[in-house]
Amino acid sequence: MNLTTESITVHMGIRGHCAEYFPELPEEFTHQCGVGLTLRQVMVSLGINPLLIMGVVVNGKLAKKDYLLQEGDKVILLSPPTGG
Amino acid sequence: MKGIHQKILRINLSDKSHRLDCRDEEFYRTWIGGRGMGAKIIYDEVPVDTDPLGPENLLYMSGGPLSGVYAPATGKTSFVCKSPATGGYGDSNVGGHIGPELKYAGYDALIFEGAAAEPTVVVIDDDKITFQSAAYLWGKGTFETEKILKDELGDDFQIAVIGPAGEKLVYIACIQHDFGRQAGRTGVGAVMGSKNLKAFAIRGSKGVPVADAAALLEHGKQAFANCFAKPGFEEWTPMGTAGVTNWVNEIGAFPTRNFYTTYFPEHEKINGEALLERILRTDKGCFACPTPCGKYSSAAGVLKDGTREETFQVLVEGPEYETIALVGGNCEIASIEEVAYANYVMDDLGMDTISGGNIVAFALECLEKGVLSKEQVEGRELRFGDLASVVYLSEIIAKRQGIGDILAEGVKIAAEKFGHNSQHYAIHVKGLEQSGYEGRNAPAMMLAFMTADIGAHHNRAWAITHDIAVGVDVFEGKPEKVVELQHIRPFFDQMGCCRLQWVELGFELENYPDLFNIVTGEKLTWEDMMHISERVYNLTRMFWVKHMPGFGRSWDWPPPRMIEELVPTGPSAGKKISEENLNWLLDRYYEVRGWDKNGIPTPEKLEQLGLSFCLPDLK
Repeated sequence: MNLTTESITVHMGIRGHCAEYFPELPEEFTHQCGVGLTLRQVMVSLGINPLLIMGVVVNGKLAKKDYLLQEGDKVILLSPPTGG
Repeated sequence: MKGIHQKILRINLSDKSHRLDCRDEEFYRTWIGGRGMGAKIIYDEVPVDTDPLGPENLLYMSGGPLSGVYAPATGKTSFVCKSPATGGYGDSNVGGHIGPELKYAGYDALIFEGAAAEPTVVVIDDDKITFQSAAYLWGKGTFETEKILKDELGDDFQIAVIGPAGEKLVYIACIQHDFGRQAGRTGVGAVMGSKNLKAFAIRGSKGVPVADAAALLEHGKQAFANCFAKPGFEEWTPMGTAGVTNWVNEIGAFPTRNFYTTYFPEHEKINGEALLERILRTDKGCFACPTPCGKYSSAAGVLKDGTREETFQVLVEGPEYETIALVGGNCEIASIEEVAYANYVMDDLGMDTISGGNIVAFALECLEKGVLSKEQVEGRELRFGDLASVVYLSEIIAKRQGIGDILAEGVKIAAEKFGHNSQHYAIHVKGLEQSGYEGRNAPAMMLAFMTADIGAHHNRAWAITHDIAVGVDVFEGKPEKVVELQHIRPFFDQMGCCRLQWVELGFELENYPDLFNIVTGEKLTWEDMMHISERVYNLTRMFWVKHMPGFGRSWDWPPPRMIEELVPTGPSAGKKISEENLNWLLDRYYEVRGWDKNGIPTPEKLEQLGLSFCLPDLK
């Protein structure tokens, strides 16, 4: 398998208090993953429990965790807000 | 110490007098402000056996040393009193602008004592205090009352009002401010109503004494810049707290059908996206807020009440998450427009939407199970999922009409009066209705509700992400986490600022000692602050011990439904929490806190925290 044609690169960021549960991951990072993976699958592969993520923004728009990642996507993972 | 005026304004409504209560700096160092000072004052001054709705109760309001200064979100204000909803310690915080305005008028706190003979409005215009008749406002809704007073006094007055629910001493009455911000919990609005205080208005023209103004300008500017630059700022702000709706369903913790289950299949009709796409008009922030969670909405629809149909069109601040959960999922209202309308109705009546949605759902289940009869609701066919049922019950509760007179005292008291196993449908801890997260599959969150010092409220320790992070079947370490959060989160209510910048944006906790010390000239570390917060948490616990005969472990027990019924549907299907696990959680929690097996602070713990004055109340 040729990695250059069978993989994509996405830019990821984790926002809010949930980042404390993934201390090994930086706030922003670039990730290379296989083609045809959902965001949920990639989160799991990175050790991120998808249930800790309230929502995701892909390229500036709200998306589902089952969004199929594309080359160059900019993904932001949001922590749940808590009211006051 | 700076950041304070060393002036507490005390207003006696019985004889229309006022005086200044000037305390030494040590008082402020020990209790800081907000709920901390309030807890100490009501502990000292509200006698045991005081009727929460009697003139001996106090209604206290204060922000804190950071209130009104140039720093992010310094607009939070706490009301403190003996709670009519629970009989124990009560507090509730509100955003908006009224806390900073009190500071600008030259006061650190405001206390209402006694009770007016007639409906009254108190106007605080710097040093000038006047008492006006509120006869012409009595009976009016909150929105109209605030609008009339704004028109009469001027837009530069910050105003707090009660609605019909507060006037009728409904135990879930709130205090409303700024056309949609509420101090909603523990019945603070009923205490205001018991004093015949329809409204108070504040205008101030003074500054806040600051230890190092140049450093505050620099640090405050940087703090705002940090918030604006935080990654996630743009993504988090648009939906506000409503954005959490999908997630709470995904993890199986969304109150649905009076907490019968924890997943609402139609939640996408009332979630953050629905709000954003269908009814949102603009953001609405509190004083100095860089991340406005308030959403102003415009909703239209049809209210079908039997054979009668009426159209509605309302502007309302909200609905925020808690209203979506308790009025939406818990009453099975599957339309964001209808949730917004019910939000408007409850706000205008002056009742807490958390307890309101909870009590309405309790009543609907009582009707469904035959505890209440159709005749007790004027022959109406009331049911879950029906907006007219929610509106009808809200109105009879707020006005104490018919069966609403009993429901107005909350689910705990109503269940005691209704009997027929209705305790099983009453979702509360210590008499305060539970807010919008279910704990059968989230032990840390359950423990947080059980041990919150006002009853089943989420904001003392919002521990549910910890449940998900370490595993919902894990118990080890959760009492420690709950205690840690119970010290961090309420401390914001002592400083006078909002905690959402920390929670949502990751605005670092280390910023707060820096800001606090620049404003006050003190040299507190974060650890010092947490020690003070622990002191207050133990004092509020001692308020319960002092005022409630027999107070102890059984008061920390969750609603029977959480123990006896399996969650029937959704991601948490098949889950409940066992008595054995609950006892383990409580044992460990008390041990971490330095309390005895019955949940009472030990003499050693009280002395360690500087609470020796509480020792006589242990007897």
